[in-house]
Amino acid sequence: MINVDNLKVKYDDYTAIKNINLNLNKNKTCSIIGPSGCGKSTLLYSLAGILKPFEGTIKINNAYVKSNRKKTGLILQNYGLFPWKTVWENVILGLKLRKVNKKELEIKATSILKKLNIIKLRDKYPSQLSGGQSQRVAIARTLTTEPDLLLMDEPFSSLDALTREDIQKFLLKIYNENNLTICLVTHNIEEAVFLGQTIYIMSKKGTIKKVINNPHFGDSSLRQRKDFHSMCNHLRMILKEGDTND
Amino acid sequence: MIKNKSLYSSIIVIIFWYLLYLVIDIKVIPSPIDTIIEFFKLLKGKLIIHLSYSIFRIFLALIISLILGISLGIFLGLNKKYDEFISPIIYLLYPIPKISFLPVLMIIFGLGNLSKIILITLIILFQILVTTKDSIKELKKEHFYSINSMGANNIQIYKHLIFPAILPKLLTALRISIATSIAVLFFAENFATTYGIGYFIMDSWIRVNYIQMFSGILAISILGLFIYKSIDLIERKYCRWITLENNNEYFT
Ligand SMILES: Nc1ncnc2c1ncn2[C@@H]1O[C@H](COP(=O)(O)OP(=O)(O)O)[C@@H](O)[C@H]1O
Ligand SMILES: [Mg+2]
Repeated sequence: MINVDNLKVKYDDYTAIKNINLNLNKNKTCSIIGPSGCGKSTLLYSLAGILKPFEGTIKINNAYVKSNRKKTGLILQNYGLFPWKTVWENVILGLKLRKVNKKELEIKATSILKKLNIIKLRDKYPSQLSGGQSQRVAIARTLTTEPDLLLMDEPFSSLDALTREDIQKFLLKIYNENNLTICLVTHNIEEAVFLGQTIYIMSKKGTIKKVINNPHFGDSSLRQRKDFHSMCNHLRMILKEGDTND
Repeated sequence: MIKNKSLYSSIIVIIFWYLLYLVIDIKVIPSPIDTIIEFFKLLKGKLIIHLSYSIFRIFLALIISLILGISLGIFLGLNKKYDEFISPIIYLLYPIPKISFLPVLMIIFGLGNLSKIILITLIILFQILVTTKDSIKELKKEHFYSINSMGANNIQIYKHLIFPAILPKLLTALRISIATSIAVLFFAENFATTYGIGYFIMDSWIRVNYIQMFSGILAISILGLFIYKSIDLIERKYCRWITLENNNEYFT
């Protein structure tokens, strides 16, 4: 589904990421992990069509990504929801922008709010929500437009550990039910292992240092298993290696 | 509840006024009741004409400043390069009491309406410009990414992101600048005009007609109150999220 070939992205003169190769098949997930400032968000925004490649190409379903793609949903860490809109207004925004008629919009949004168990938050404003609730709403908003690809930029990093695990499991469920393809950026090792079928590890220099396959992916009780912790440790080691070499 | 607040404060003011009238037994302070009766009588005649002139000047200035201030504010907020050049100039001019430009404006733009409208425009414009620019700068690039990723076109970005973001501060700016502009207009209407509520009040004073003078003062307060109430109404309708956020701050 996603094919990134030798991608380089610059901010004016500054090269944020380079030599990026990434391939992700339909209905699979990948997590991208790396130290803060290594270019994870830059990579994700390029996949979303918001930032343009300086060199190299990005293809999704064999079409070059030139601007935002209708079936790509982007979820950001903090600023995704608009504070001046209620939960309901936020959730229908994507549909409204696509000029979906009122009736259809009403039905779609209500069914998703119910499915995500946040229908009672309908009339609240983002400032009245807890971190976990906000993220559910953000996910709901993205799902209304029925994406086949979800891009997430550290979506859970402001949540406490328990809420985070809850919502990670929840995401796994959504993934299974909706035939999604997910690409998730994180700096959290456990999250990368829990949600990534393939794990891309980035170096400080803005390149991909290593790609590992994660055979344990998909088990929502993974955290209780020993494999999970050895996988995390393995990942931790690879991440640390970079620090001494750079 | 809110309506009662206005009523309650009006009653308090009238009671104070009445007490002053009783205690200070000279003509300078007329009875509030006589004044209110006179006010309604005058309103049918010349007072409404004077008031219309003032309202016309303020609203025209308001509209010009809103259009110029918001568009320039958004432009500078979104374009850092230009902002770097233009902001220092704005901040240099911002604190100058604009009324000190009145003589210059009257020489350049004549003694009539134009110079008065430009003066008030200057006062409101700067407030709106500066706060609009600041509100835009407070937006994070993630806000724009978020709405871009949903495929919004430019009009939709203004409707769903930019305008809602600037509205709360815009209303605050209006509150501050309209109070100043009414005061300044009052002053400016004493020069080279025979129309306007400022002229009406000072003219009544010169004629030693204190009841009429107070009717004018009453008119100017009602005008101010009307504008404030309109701003409140817009705020309550469109900026509920701001009041909620402020309330949350008290609780947490
Ligand atoms: N808009 C921008 N303009 C210039 N440099 C930027 C911009 N956004 C990010 N950068 C720089 O690019 C690098 C990668 O940023 P980012 O992709 O946000 O990293 P990460 O998400 O991994 O923390 C950082 O060094 C950052 O300072
Ligand atoms: Mg980032």
